Amino acid sequence: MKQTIKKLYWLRIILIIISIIGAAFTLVPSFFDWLGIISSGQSKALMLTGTILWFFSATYLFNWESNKDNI
Amino acid sequence: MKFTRITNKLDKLNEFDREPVPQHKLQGIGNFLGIYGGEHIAATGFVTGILWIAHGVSVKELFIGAFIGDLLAVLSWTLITAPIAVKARLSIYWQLRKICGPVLVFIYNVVNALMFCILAGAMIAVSATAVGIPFNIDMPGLNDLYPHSIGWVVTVFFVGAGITTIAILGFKSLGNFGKVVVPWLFLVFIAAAVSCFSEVGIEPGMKNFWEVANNTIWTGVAKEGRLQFNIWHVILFTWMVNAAMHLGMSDLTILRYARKWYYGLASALGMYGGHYIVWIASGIVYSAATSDAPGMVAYQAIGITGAICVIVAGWSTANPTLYRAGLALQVVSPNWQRWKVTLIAGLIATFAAMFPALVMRLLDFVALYGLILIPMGGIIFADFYLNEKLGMQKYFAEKHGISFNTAAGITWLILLISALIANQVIGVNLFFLPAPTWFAAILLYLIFSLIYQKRITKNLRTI
Repeated sequence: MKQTIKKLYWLRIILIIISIIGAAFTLVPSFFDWLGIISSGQSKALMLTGTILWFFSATYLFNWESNKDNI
Repeated sequence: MKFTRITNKLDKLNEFDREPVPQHKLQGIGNFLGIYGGEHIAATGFVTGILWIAHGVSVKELFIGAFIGDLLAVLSWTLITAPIAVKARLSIYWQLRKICGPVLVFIYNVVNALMFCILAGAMIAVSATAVGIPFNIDMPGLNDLYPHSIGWVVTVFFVGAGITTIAILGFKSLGNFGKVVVPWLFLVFIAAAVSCFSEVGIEPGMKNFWEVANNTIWTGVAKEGRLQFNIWHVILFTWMVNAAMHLGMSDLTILRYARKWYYGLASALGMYGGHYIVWIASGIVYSAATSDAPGMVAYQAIGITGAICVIVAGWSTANPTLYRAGLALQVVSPNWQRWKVTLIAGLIATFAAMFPALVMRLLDFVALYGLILIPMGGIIFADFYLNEKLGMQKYFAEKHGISFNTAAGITWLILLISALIANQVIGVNLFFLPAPTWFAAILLYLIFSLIYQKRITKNLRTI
């Protein structure tokens, strides 16, 4: 039981980190594009990556309570 | 007999919240921040931002006008809707039923359902503008009102079918998905705008932002075929875009769970975070685009993420709207199951979505939506605060077992006809009608109630 709780705790931390990275990749590349640090194509690719990361992690995170029962 | 059956059905649908919300079920302000933030960061905002530019709104008119309009909306929720909600603790259905009687509420429900279907249709059309991109579908232009290509019709059909199917299969679980979508949508709208900064000429440091905003983005010149707007259009539309919810009182259903009346201030997150910022962001994105279709505009700005944003934004607004339409339509269906009425609502919405007018004239539709339902909000206000002060009874229909409160019915009908004449004959813009209509509803309802209640109580004494 303790092992499972510990695993769930770390899983949640990982999901939070991935969500933050996803959110950052969604927003930040546009600023880099504007400042000329990266190209428009690179910005779009990074934003798409951020979108995928966000939807993957946030879906589990925001529904954590109901998913926990299934783990 | 038929009315009794419909009444019983309507009551049964709303049975779970027949009683005022008990103390232990009241919720904290965080819940309302989530609701208002989630509801107003949506695809409609993306389209509205585009249409401001099309109608020649200048940067000053948008920034100042939208600020004032949003402030009026927040104050309407906080000072008009929320105080009634926390005192009565009833949903709009039961509040109206007590005042107007079940038959008038039934009519209100049907009208509301149709409006929901059309609004869902607008969102299906918005999503379709993104879905059609990989298939090179000919997108509708700003002045297109009718279906213009087979490709468009087919795309809308499949998008509508998809959204309707998902709505039938599982609204509740998908409601959770909405929580995931909203924060991401907000970030994408901002990212899309920033991505277009260099395209429109805004330099790093933003020193020339106002110059570009004035000369390139919000030039103040309406596009061909579009009415020229001024600051009053912006203020009044921004205030009344959610008229059905604040002055129209449908948010009684939400705010009845608030601990305090000032939780109405939570609407500010939706107004400024949702409307204000999204409208500005979408305006910047549109000014850099070569299309009028929301999906293409977003795709040109930030690629596939933009297309996904428009699809998801349209879907996340259409899904709960379709659900509400299905719920409201259940009262006219002969004991059909939920999935059947949702299917009917989806079919109506999908058919409506085939007409690009729904997207390209979204401002007019939303203003009309508010205008049709706002008189009922005035009636609720008058009944709640003024009836007893003027020697009349509150909740008259409930107290006397009346199924159709004629005073309320006539008030609603007269105001709708007056608004139609004002708009179609005199030429008053739709945006300018909801506010005076609300005040007129209060006045007319009080006058008619004086006559009506006297007549009914006199008849009862005679019996």
